[in-house]
Amino acid sequence: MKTNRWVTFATLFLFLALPFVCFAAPTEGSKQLLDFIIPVTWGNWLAAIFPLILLLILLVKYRWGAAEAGALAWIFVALISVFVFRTPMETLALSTVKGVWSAIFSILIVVWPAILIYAVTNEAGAFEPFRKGIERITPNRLLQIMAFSWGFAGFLQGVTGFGVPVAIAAPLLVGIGVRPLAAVIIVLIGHAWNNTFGTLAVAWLALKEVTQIGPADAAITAFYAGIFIWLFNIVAGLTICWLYGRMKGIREGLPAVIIISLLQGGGTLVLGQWNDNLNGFIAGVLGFLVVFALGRTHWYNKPSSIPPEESPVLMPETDVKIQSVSGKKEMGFHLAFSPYYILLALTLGVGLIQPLKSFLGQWKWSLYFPATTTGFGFTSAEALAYGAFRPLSHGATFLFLSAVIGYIIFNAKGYVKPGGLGRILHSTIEKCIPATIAMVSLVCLSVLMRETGSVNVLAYGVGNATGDYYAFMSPFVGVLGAFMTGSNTAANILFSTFQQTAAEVIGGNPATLLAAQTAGAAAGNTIAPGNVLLGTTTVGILGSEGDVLRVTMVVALGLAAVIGLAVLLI
Amino acid sequence: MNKKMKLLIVASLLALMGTPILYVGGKDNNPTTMMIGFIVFCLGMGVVLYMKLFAKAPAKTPPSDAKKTS
Repeated sequence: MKTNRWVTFATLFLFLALPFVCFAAPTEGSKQLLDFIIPVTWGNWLAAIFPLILLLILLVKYRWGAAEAGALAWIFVALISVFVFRTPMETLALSTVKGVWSAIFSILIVVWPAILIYAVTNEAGAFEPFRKGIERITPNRLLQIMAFSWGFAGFLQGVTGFGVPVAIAAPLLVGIGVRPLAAVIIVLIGHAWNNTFGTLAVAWLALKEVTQIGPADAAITAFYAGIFIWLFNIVAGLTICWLYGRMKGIREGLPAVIIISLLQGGGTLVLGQWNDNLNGFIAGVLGFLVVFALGRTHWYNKPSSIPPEESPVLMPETDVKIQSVSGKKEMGFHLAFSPYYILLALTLGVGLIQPLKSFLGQWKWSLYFPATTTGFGFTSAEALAYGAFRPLSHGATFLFLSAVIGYIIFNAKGYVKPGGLGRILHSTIEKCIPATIAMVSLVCLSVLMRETGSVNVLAYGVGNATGDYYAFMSPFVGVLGAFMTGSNTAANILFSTFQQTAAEVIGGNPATLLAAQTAGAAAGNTIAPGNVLLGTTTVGILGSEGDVLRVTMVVALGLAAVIGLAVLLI
Repeated sequence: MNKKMKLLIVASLLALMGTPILYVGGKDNNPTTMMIGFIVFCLGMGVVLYMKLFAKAPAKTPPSDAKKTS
C-alpha cells in the first residue's frame, strides 16, 4: 500500500507538471539529420517517450498489471497528443476508435477462443494424457519444452501468426508441467524468430511493398535478414536451455539447438532466396519434425540429467498432478490433442489452399475512417476499410471451432463431468474480462501515438541523435515498432521507409538496415505488451506482465544490440 | 463473482459504450458527441485506475514462480 501511495503522488506530480513540459517543448529543431513534418526536438522527443517509460516503470518496477498501467499511460498519451503534438479532438476520437477496433478484431478475437480451448482441454482433463504422450516421444523434459515452445510455436507462427502461437503453446507448456510465468517467457522467445517470414511472409512482403525495392536488392536484404533471424533463432534456443537449467541446460540442449536452428534459421536463410511465402512455413515444419527424430537419439532418449526439482521452470510434481483430473477413464494422447489437430487441419486447409482462402476471405468486417490531420500537418490517410476482419479465414474462427468441436468430442466420450459447460464458460469469462480492458488501453495508446506522429518523432529523434552511428540503432527502431504495434508487419510498414532514408543519409547499406529493421521487429514481438498479455491471460497469471518483461526485455534488447553491432561493422 | 471482476466488467462496458459515440462524433466532427464519448470512455479507464490506486487491495500472494525464473 505504501508503494501505491508513492506511485499516486508521483503520478499526480507528473500530471501537474505535464503542461509545463508541454509549453517548454521547443517547436524549432536544431540541425536535423532527417527532415520530418513534426519538429524533432528534445522536448517533443521526451514528450513522446514519456508515456512508454511510465508504462515500463509501472509494469516492471511497480508490477502493475497491464490494465492499470495501460489506462494511466493512455491518459498521458492523450494529454501529450493534445498539448504537444497539436492533436485535434476529431483525431483523438477517431484514433481511440481505431484502437478499440484493433484491440478487439486483431488481438482479443484470438485471446477469447484461445482461453476457451484451454478451458475445454483442462475441463476434460486432457493435459495429463497429453503429457504422458509427449513423454513417450521423448522422456527428456528439456527437449519436450523445446518441442512446444520453439518447434511447435515456430511452426504455428509459420502458418498462422496473430498471437496464436503464444495463446496455444503457453498453456500446453503449463499442461506438461512448466510454471505459468516461465511458459509465457519461453514461448514468447521461442516463436518470435519466425515473425518475418511466418504467416506466409506477410511482414516481409509489407517491407518490400513500402520500400519498393527491386528483386536484386530484395534478395540481398533477405540474405541479411536470414542471417539476423538465424542469430535470433540460436539465441532463442540457448535462452530456453539456460532458463531450464542454466549452464547445465545449455550443455544438455546444445545438440538440439544446433540441429533445430540449422533447419529453422539456416532454412530461413536459404529459403529466403527461393520463395517468400513458403519460407517461414517450411522452416517451421522442418524445425518441428526434427524434434521427433531428436527424441530417438542417445542425447534425448533418456530423462534429462537435470532433475525436475532443480529446474527453475518446472512446477513441483504435486502441483502438476493437481491439474490432472483423477477418477476418469484414461484418455489417449491423440484424443487429448484432438482440439489442436482440428486447429491444425483448419489452419493448414484454409491457409495453404489459396482459392479456398480467397473465397472465404471475401466476407469481411471493417470500419470507414476519414483522413485526419494534426496541427503539425501530420496526416493519417483515409481508410475505406480499416482493420478488415475476415471471420471465415481468420485464425480466431479456427480456434473457436476447434474449441467447440473439441468440447463435443470430449463430451461425447464422457470426459466432461455434469456442469462442465458452465465451468468452462465461467472460467473463460473470468479470464477474458481483465484481458479486454488491458488490451483496449494498450492498443489505444499505440494507435494514438502512431496517428499523431509521436512514434515517428521517436524514431527520427534516434536517427538525428546518433548520426553516422545510426546503423547500430536501426534494430532498436524495429524493436520500438513491434513494441508499439505488437506486429512485425505493422512495424515494417511504419519504419521501413524511414530506415531506407536513414541509410541513404548516412551512406549506409539499405539492405542491412532493412534487414535489421525486420529482425529487430521480430525480437520486439517478445516485449510487445499485447503479446505478453496474450500469454499471461491464457495461462492465468494476468498482472504478471512486468515479470515477463524483465526477462524478455533483456533478450530483445541484447539481441538488438548484437544485430546493431553487426550492421555497424558490415 | 467478486467486486473486482464486477468493476472490471463495468470498466470494459464503459470503454466499449464510449467507442461508437466517439466514432459518430469523430466522423461527423461533432464536438458535443465527441465530448460525451470521451467522458464515457475515460470513465472506463478511470474505474481501472480507481481500483488500482484507491480501492482496498485484498491480501495477495505473489505468483509462486515469479522469482525463480528471472
